[in-house]
This record gives sequence, C-alpha cells and structure tokens, in this order.
Amino acid sequence: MNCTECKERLVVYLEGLLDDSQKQTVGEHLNKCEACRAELEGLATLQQRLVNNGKALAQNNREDEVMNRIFCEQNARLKSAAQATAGLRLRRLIMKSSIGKMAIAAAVVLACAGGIYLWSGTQPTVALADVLVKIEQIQAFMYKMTMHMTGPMQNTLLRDAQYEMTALISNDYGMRMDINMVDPNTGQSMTQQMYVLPEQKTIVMLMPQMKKYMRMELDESMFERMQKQSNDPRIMIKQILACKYEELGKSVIDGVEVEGFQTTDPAYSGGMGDVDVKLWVDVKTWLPVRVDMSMKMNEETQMQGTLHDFQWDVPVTASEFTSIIPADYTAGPGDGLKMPPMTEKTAIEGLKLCVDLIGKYPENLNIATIVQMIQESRNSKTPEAQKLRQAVEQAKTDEERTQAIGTMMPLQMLGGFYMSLAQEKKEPAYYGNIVKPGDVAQVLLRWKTAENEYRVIFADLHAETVNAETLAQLEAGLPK
Amino acid sequence: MTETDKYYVGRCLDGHPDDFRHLVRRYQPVLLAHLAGKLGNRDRAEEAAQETLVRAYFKMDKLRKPESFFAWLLGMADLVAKEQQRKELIRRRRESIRELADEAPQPELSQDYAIEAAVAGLPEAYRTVILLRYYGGLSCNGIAEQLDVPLGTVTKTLSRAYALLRESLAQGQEVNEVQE
Repeated sequence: MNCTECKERLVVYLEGLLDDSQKQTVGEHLNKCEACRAELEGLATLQQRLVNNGKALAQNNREDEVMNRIFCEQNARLKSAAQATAGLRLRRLIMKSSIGKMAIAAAVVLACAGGIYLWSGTQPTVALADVLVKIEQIQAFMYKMTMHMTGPMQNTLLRDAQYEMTALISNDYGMRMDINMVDPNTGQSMTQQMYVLPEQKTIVMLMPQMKKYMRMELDESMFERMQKQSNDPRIMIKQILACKYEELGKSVIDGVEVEGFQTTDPAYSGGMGDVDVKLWVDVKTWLPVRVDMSMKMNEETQMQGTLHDFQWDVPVTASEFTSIIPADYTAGPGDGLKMPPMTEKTAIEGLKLCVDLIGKYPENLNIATIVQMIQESRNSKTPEAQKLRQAVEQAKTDEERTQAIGTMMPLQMLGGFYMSLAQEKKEPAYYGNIVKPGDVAQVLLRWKTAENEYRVIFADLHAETVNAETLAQLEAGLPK
Repeated sequence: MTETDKYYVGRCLDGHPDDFRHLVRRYQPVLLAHLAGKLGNRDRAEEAAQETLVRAYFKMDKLRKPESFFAWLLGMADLVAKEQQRKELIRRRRESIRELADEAPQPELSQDYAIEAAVAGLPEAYRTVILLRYYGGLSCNGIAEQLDVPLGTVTKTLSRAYALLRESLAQGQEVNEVQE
C-alpha cells in the first residue's frame, strides 16, 4: 500500500468501516509511515473537536420550548376563525383535539364522579346522612372547582393542565359547567361549556374559541350514571356514606366552623385507583363548605381537586339551559355521537376493538389506561388501525369524521363499564395482563350477577354465566 | 423511535402535531450548529433554531418532497439567519450612530464556534454530511440511508469535507495570529 491509497482509506479506517484484512494493511502502512500517521492524527483531532462540539450542543435540548411555541402559535391561529378553517391541516388538528377533549371530558366527568357516589355502605352516622337530606331540599346550587391533572391522558396542549370549573346544578333543568383549562407552562387557556340536559338526555359541549359545538346523546342508563358522576355533592355524600369513612372532627375554613369526613376506601373510585376525599360541612347549616379530592389513577395519571365557594338556593331560570348553542356556531366533528350503553355487549365490542387495533388486551381497565391505549393505537400498524386511520384521514365532512371517531366509542366505554361494576360492588376481576386473545377456556373479565352466580367473558370473547365453584376452577387455571 | 423524516412529516400533516417533537429532537442540535456557525453567537443561534423549527412546522404543508425535509429545513434556517443578520446590522447601525462610536463592531465569534463557522462555510454537500454526522448523531451508514447515496460516497464526501475544514481552520488561525 502506498501513501495515496492509505490516505484515501483513513476516513473509512477512523469510522471503523474497514474489514479486518484491510484494517491490517492500513495499520501496517501507518506503522512504517510517519507522514500518514501525522495525517491520521490531524484527522482524529478534527474529528474529536467535532464530536465534542456536537455533544455540547446536543446536551441542551430545547424540545419542549419549541413544542410550546408551536402550540401557542397554533392556538392563536385557531382563535381567529378565518384561519381555523383555512387549511386541511388545521381542520384535522381540531378534530384531533376534540377526540382528546372528549376523552378528557369523559375521564374528568367519570373520575370526579367517582367523588360523589360512594359514601353509602357502612353505618351512616346521623350527621352525614343529615347533610344529604339537607342538600336534597335545595333546588339549585353552584360551586367552583379547581382541579389539577397530570399524566399522559393529556394531549400536549393540556399536559399538566389546571382546570377551573364553575358548576350550576338545578333539580329542574340539569347541570351546566364552565370549564377553563389553563396550561401553566404557557399560560394558554381554553374554555369549554358543558351542559347535561336530562330532558333531552343529551350532553352539549361548546367550544367558544372555535365556535363549535358537539352534542352527545346518551343512553338512559348511561345518562343516570353520568348525572351521578358529575360532581354533584349529593352523590358525593351518598358515595362517601357507602364507603368506610372517618370523622375528622372540627376545624375552621374561611372563618366558618366545619366538621370533616374523610374516605380513602378504594370502592369510592370504583377501582380507578387510590383516592382520598375530605368533605367539610358547616356545623350550623349542615351544608358542604369544601371538598378536597385526590385520585391516583396510575403512576402517571393523577388528579387533585377542590370544590369550594358553594352557593345554595341560587335563582335559576329555564333560559339558562335552553337555546344554548349560539347561532354562529357550527357542529364540530363528534357532534351527534351516540354513547353506547354500558353493557356486556359494549364491553365485548370494546375488547375486540382493542385486540384489532393493538393486538392485545389492555393491561387493566382503568380509564386512564384506556385513554392511553387509544392514543397508542394511533401509531399502531395493525390492519384495523390502519383502516381506522385511513377513515379518519380521508373523511371529508364532519359527519364522516364523526363516524370514524364513533367506532372508537365501545373502547371508551370499557373503563366506565368496569368502574360501574366496582361501584356496584359486583366483585369484578380482570385478567387482560395475563391472558392472550383467543383462548376459549381462560377468564378475561368476570363479575358477580347474583348469589353464587358470576358472568364471565372469556379470552375468546364469548360470555357465560357460571357458579362460584366453576369460577374458582377457571381462575385456578389462569397463567401465573 | 427511528422512523424516517417522511413518516413524521406525514403524521404531522395528518393531525398529530405532537409527532413534530421527534423531528425537533432529531434536528435541533444540527440547526444549532449550523446557525452558530453562521451567526457566531450562541444565543442568537438558539433563537434562530427555534424560529426555524416553528416556521417549518407551519409551512410543512408546502413541503413538496417530505423525504428532503432536512435540506428544506436548512434552507429555512438560512433564511432565518439572513433576517436576523439584517436586523442585527440595523441595530448596530443605530447604536453606532447614537454613540458616535468610530470603532468598527467586533465580530462576536468566539473561539468555540470557529469550527461551526468553518462548517457553515462549506459547500452544501459537504456541510450536510458533517452536520448529520456530528450534530445529527448519524453514522455513515445512517447518512447513506437518509441521503439515499452509496456508503462510499458518504465517506469520500466526509474525507473531502475534513480536508476543506482543516484548510479553512488553518486560515482562520493565521488571521488570528496576524491580528495578535
């Protein structure tokens, strides 16, 4: 090998791309030739400088800053109505965020709902039951709620979001909630109004920044549940009464003498995770003054909230709950969706959809986990996921988009179904973390339907009713 | 994840803005190096890199060939850098008029960025390979794949780029020495 040949190969040599025999040849020449050694050294020094500089620059990653700037800018563009409909890309973005928001809204409503239902099982003390009686006489009331949520169920815009809500609950007309979500990192906020209208069995969501509305029709049973779970302090108290709870004794909040009750009973959240709920009641009026809740749905997803500033017997007129959609708003994608009933059939459809989309069952049926899985499925490469993605992408009208989104509904309902089983104390158990799709003999999900009677959904998604003994045998046969 | 640029561009256009994050992660250091070389100032380079990425996001639907995202991004960085330099020049003029300073503004280029400046001065083909190799964390094979050229072309280009860089750095050295 001569010097020209050697120099030609030095870069490849430094990059470690030569095979052994070539490496040896170059090595031998270098041993003999001082000029080529000097050349190599010069190259290596330069390379080292580049490597060091590259590392120094890579260390300081401002990824989040860039993404935040993009989302702020995006928000600003969405706020101007002209731009919001300007391009295909932005339209799709709205759709995406409304799925996100729907999932969040559902999770929030269900999660907070967790707050309300649970205090009814173990010997209610006179006091707490009296509080309930007292509130039930009230026709309409308002409260404020501050909530902070962290976790992957948030889309980037709302990561670590702070929610400020004002709720107005009327026995006659339903419920109205003004929700303001603030991203503490950017100070960006987004408002949303949600109406729960019992007459029409409908939930209406308004998104003022985009001038869009969305109506969701609820099945009867779902509607009742939704009402129960909408942070109505009445339901909260019933729920606390159903759980193990402790009396916290007297304290003072904002100059008002209060008495506290606390539950950490997991039944309160219907198996959604660790909960801690404290309710403070005015000792003179027996009406709630403040509720502190914290809920840990899984490692990443946590919620902390406070209900405060209660106002009782506020005057309410029907007009506050009618013609609520301003004339210049248009239907957003998702409008007209029907929520499937929370039944075994829907649960099976949801489980099937999950296997089709990501090839396995969810690890658990926690709502946070399921929202996470829906997000995961957006990157999935299964034929079903690709088909769905295509349907969403090719949808030209909002109706087509709604239809595409609608196919996901059974999956969204799964978590709610499991939670309802837990809240109704039906002893649900779920084994999606250990059983594989398709097995005829393995229990995937079961719950109690009567004394000595259980309903079982097997891993191949057929369902049977079995007695306790059979169930015990089936569960003994599960993989460890 | 190691999906191609084209994949992520497609994802963003399909309404998954958060996937732009992967492209930011991939190219921010590269842009920073390129812009530090051009602007000779770390803070301005950082601002320009961010501005470039934000602008790129909103113009992505105008990108004809998603597979050449990187080349397009560098082009955009050059535009941003030019704008910044123009602004800087205007600012300096105003200042110098105000202060009646007769001293010519000193270039703020620190020794640290001499190498990036040399990189920025390379012809495009060489610059691209150096940026991807050292600031984009790609191997020679990775570069060959991304640019869709044979591996031999990458190593030869690198080799030539090194020679050019050494020349340019040596010249810079001389200039410095003469000044001192």
